[in-house]
Amino acid sequence: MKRREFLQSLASVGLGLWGAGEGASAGPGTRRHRTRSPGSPSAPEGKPRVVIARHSGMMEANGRVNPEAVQQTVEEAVAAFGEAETATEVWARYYRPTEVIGLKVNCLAGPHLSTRPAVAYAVARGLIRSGVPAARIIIWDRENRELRAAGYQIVTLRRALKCLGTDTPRVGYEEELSTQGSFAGRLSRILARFCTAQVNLPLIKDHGITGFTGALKNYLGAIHNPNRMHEGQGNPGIADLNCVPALQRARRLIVGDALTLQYEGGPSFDPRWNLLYNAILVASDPVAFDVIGWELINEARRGANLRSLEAVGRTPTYITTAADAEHHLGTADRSEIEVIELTVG
Amino acid sequence: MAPRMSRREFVGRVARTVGAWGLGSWYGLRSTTPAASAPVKGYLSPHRARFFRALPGRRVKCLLCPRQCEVGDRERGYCGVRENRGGTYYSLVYGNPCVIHNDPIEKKPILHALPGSKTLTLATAGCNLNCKYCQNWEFSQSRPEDTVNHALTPEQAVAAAKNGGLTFIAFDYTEPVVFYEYVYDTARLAREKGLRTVMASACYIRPIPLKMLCPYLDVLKVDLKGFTETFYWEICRGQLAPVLEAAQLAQEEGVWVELVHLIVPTLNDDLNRIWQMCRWIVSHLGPDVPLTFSRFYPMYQLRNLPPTPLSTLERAKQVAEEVGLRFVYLGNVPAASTGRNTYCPRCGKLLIQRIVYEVKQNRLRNGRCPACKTPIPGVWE
Repeated sequence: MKRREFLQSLASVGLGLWGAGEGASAGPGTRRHRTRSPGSPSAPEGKPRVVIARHSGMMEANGRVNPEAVQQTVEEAVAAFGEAETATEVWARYYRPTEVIGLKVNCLAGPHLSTRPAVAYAVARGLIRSGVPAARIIIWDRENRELRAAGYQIVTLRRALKCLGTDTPRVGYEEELSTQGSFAGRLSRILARFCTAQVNLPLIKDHGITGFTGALKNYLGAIHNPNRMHEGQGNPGIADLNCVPALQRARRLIVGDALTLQYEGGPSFDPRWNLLYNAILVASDPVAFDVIGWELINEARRGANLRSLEAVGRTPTYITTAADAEHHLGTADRSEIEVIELTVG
Repeated sequence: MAPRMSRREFVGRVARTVGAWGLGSWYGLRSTTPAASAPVKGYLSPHRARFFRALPGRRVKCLLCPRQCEVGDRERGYCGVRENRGGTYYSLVYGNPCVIHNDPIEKKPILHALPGSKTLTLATAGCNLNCKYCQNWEFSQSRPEDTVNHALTPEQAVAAAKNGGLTFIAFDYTEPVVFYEYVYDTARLAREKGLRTVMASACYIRPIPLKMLCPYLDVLKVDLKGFTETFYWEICRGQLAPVLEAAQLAQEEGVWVELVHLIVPTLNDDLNRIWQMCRWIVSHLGPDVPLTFSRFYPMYQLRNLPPTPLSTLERAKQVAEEVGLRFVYLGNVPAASTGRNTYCPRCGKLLIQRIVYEVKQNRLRNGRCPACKTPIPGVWE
């Protein structure tokens, strides 16, 4: 990177995003103009919905990803979720062009088990087509090192679609402590200041401590002390974190990368228990998303003659806590969740 | 135009920079250790951890503290400074302190060890507890990526302390247990070079690591946070029993032990409970262990509570003395307070007068009261 570009990148992070974020949030009622309130867990008819869209050509057994197939599947899944003709219509329903939109990926586990760049870029393309300027989209996670290892290119240029970690100079975490129930930590400024909305792009994985990691747990990558949140199998810490106002305000759609499922040995990559699944999941209710993800993990475990998460003492209880009256983050009752399965290709 | 920074952020940033850089450079660290003069945000120095067991599936079990975290590959323990890398556990805070201070020993507070001595005090990011009133939460509750860290090897730290004419190397501010390997190597080297060592700790540590460290420790300040398991769990996310065990073990191993008990209004200020705690101290550690009742100030997650009333501290002191403790002090109290002074338990003569952290008078003669010759326990030579 040239010196000029580097300086420009710093300025874009500091000025462009910050200003854009504040401007957008202070603008004339981004939330008022929405057809659905931010964080609304409901599909159009009010029942939480999770779309599982499959395309056998998205990923090959050798790990090679076909971006076109991913793009097509994301579009079909988003359109189906919103009962719309096109994904563009649905993106426009949830995200306004004046907003700064964060795409929170999960790159903790390295190149073989991170939110694939093809999925993040498919979401970004969908947003751009719906009218969101590329410069108002930030693909982000904790660290640039982890993003790079997952195949992302760090971009902080002012007028470009950005991709950066919270550890980018002049980004960092809030100085002020955020507290919510048992959660106390500093929020990433990307979440708290730069962005007004988020697309959550989790993976679907087994987790050695909390049992499961999906939509709710993905935001542990947005705080400075994620190590504190695994206590008590993440319960109620993960649910509490998801109730932080900055996150409540920004929560909209979830586009889950289920190209593979890590059904045992997670959250790190372990090829022995990594199942090629070739699916994209779309939801707006993070609890419903996780309930279905948990179900998929148990199905994969059954297929491999492994006992369920519950049977091995790793019930992800934080998911049901997230649905209780105190947290009210969504629906954990499986019978109340509508699952739409699509085969795209 | 630069991005706006709130006044609080600016002041905080300046304070941290001055604290980390300025004080370090004051003690000649700039000239002796070039890296120490250039602290870097997020500087890490991975070092193989001493106490862990490898588990199947590249998982590890940490054996350093009672928490005994089981940690998956690429994940960290509760402390946030120990990471599993492919089935091997690493400390990320070996030789990268975020605090390098010159403190008087009274600031720890240690009141029966070489009064008026100066310490080179080191701390890294991280803690294995999460006390809701932590005074240093910006360091202790952070991962080392988020603090501004110096590169300072044990050799450099010891050389800096020697060059600066300091008496002690101290490990304080955050929780030394989480940077155990750095403490161990630095303390061992410090003792070889004729320095004294002091560790200020919550002592949430397993017996074996503590026992291995004791030969290199002169003084241990044990932060006894409460006297119920409920308080330890709900307010500090820890357990009481291992702390009591650690205090006894350190004393048995010949380390001079002092206690501090911070009284938080409504949470651990019950005098009956304080009475029980003091009874335990007398019966298990002896009546000569100095105990400081420290005043709480609203901080971190407990900003909703008022500072501890002085009257509460004074009543606690009275209870402790009634139970039989002979050296009871008050901490975090106004400068005019006599609660920091040491008096002869036999004749009542003022032995050491302290104003805040400064020793105004020290009348001890060979560790004895000059009037009645009563020996005063402590490290005086």
